[in-house]
Amino acid sequence: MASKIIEIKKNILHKNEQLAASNREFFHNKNLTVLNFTSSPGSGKTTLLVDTLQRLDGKFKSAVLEGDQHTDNDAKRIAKTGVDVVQINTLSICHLDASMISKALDEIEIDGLDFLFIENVGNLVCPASYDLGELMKVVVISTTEGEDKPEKYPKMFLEAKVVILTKIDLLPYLDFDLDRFLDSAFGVNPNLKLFKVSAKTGAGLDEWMQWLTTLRTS
Amino acid sequence: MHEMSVAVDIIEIVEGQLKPGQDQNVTKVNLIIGELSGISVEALEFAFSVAIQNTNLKNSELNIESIKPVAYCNDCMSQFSPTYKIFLCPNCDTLNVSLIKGKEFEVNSIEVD
Repeated sequence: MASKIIEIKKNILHKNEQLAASNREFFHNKNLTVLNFTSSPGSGKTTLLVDTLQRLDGKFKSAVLEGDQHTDNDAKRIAKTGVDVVQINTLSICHLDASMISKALDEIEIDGLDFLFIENVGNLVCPASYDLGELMKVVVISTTEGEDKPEKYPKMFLEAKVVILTKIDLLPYLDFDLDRFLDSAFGVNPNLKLFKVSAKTGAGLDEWMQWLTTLRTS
Repeated sequence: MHEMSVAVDIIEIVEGQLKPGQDQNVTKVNLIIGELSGISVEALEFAFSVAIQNTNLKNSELNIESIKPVAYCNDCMSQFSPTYKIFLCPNCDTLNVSLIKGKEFEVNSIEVD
């Protein structure tokens, strides 16, 4: 039998993109600012989030969705700050997708929230491809990683609007070349907003918090 | 390694195009994938070969058209193949550059018997 060609011309991720669009509309209707934090494992995302939540406390109301393949260790750390947190265990899956977010939203009280922080699975590759409906992706990278990571994982740095360099208190002890990192990050994406922070010393956190809160006040 | 999720999405898209109740044998799935789409073609081919078992696509093979990134400088109006500095125009050294190819990620067509 002669074979027949059927045209499809459909984005492979269209299902996720439809769900992400519906999440985005929901967030918009609830006047909720949603940030999707991505990084390699061990960059300090959870520590940064804990510090951020503590500084927002009393002024803004936040909730967190925690993505990890296994365990609720990070959710427990977040819960100590007193904010609502839902742990999403992805098991074998290496990223969060839009359907996981919409399911987890059923478990938190959305009304009255200012910020929803999504901590993605530690992975610089796959989460770059999955829109969750967030306002923006924030990529976190630490000084103990290679300074050429942006060019090694360009898609993540292309998709992100913000990059946060963590553990800057360690710079004097490391071979991390800050200029090389900046060249790499801005080479991939010249529009990135950069913050350099240390959760240990508190350096840079004021600038980060100031920028973050203007997302709600401006 | 999100290629398994992607393989499952591809199968769902293809099965959505088949006429229900008819025994259609999909022989080929033609994809268009840009090099900046963040997928590993080798890993996708492997995941696809596993995921199609017991589906209408079980006898199909993937045919992937790979697209190299192409950028366009809005200042000097030149087209170029970008390095990792995608938005840096090699001709006029400005950053007023748009990516016009390289992020494609679609099921273009299928072939059925």
